[in-house]
Amino acid sequence: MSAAYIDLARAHAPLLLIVMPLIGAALMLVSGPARLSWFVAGLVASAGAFVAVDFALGALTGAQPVAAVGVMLHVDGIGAFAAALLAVVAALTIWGAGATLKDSGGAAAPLALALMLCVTAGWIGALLAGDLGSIIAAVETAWLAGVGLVAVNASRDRAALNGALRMLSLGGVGFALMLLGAALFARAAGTSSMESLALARIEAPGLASAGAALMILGLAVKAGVAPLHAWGVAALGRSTSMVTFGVGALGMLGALAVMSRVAGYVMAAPEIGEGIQAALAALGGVSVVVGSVQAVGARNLLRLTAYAGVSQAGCVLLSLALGSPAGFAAALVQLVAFAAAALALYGGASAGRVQTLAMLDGYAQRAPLASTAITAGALSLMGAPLTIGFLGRWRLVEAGVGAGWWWAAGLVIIASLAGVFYGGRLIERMYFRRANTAYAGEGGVWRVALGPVLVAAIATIAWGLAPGGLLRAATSASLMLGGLSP
Amino acid sequence: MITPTVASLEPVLAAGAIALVIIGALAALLLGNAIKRLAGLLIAGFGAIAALAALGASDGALIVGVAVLFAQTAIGIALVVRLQEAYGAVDTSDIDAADADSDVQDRAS
Repeated sequence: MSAAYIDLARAHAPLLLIVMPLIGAALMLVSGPARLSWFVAGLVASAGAFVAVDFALGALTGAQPVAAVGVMLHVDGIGAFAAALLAVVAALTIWGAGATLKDSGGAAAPLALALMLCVTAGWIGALLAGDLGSIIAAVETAWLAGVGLVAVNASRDRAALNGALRMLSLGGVGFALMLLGAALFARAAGTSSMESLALARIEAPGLASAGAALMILGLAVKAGVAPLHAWGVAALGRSTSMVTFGVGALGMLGALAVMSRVAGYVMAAPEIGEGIQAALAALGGVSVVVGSVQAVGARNLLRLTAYAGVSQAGCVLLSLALGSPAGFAAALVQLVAFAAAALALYGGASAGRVQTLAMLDGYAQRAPLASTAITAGALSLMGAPLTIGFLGRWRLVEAGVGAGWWWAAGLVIIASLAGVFYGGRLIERMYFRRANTAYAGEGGVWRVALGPVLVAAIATIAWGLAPGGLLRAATSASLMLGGLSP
Repeated sequence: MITPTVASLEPVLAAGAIALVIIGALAALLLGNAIKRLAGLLIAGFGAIAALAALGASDGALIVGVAVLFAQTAIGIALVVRLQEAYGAVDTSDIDAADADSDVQDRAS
């Protein structure tokens, strides 16, 4: 009997992945105290992560049939892989946010958690949506929830309202570009359904190229890719852990994953593939250089992490620009690397409420575990050997050199050298300087809630040492760009 | 005399819609007043919806566009009200200056 229910749930897993966080968000509004809300949100997010990983494992090995459900969903390799990654990151961030729940203000914490679950549902929805219109609707759900999450932080610091306004302005322009791009692309391809797009015959390549470029540009705004990243620093610079996790880690990761998915479909058309490759390569190159330079000059840890994320996003775009399965696999590995590093860095910083670099001085003596997490994240951003960051960049260099793109390998080296500088500065401050402020983090049993941050830190090293399973999953996902159906 | 048909008008309508998107996007990005930025977003959004209609998109896509634009406007108005309460201004140059002052004070303390 129960086996039948499990099979039914497995067949409808894509729908469950979207609905579960939304039900969790509704529960936040009636669950009362902040700690209870956090516990319920953590349970819902963990259940979602379990379903997502089970579904992805089944889907990527070809063992999981997908039910034809009554809403517009279409599962492909990148969608299944990235949805699982997002669901796991969401669960880790929500459990990790428990250690600094007070920062959001007692009354606002359930609302912030509800918005975080909406961000998760929105990005997962965009990864599994069945047509371009549904993708845009889901992206905007996630984005507007992110704007709300930043604005909720205003009870602690009014600068959050400025960040939210910038997010709304730039994101709104991104929405208009995506909508216009989808209209142009659908007109040229004769369809907006993801299932048909992979096989569509492009009748007007110029129109299709313009549409695809606009859609990717709109998503690039949401991913915080340079030079469209002005919202990121304003929203994250003085934010709480809930905002850095929800927008800086989950939001950017979701946008990059959706961008990878959309790029996979539009680049399948040989008529427009080359133009999109050039646009992605240009955006990626600019993002690597601008993000690296700004991270080197940053004096605020949260801003430094945001800029380092911009540089990492550039590496993801360079991988996508290759347009080959090897390039898409490299992009997926880098998404995992970005997620693990962002969790480790943001989590390690929020544990002791560190914002400026000066507050990191002697941090290793005051918070050894949080410092370990930051060190692992920094090493991964540098692309140090035996970390997942190295693995992601190595895969990009391999795929780039294979395609004759030596300049892409050069940009990766620039990103890594810059990473050595700003990542090394973090490590030097934590371990080789004397503390100048007292530890401002949570004490007692709530330190346990930092466990997920350590899990992310361990993952950056563990996947660097034993990457076999991850590489196989990324390769399988990149070979199923058009959908899971045979 | 050339008689206009639906087919011959389509590029004109689409071009007009794209022009609206560009004008609205520039206003949303470049103007300093938060309310004018919001108006720019509305113009860009309506331009994109008009482009959808001109290019023969489905009803579902149009409804998605209108719903998202409504949500953006509602959140935008709420933000403008909160900005006025918190800063006593809705001009982004005043708001940025106030934030820069706070940053300097934080560094000094």
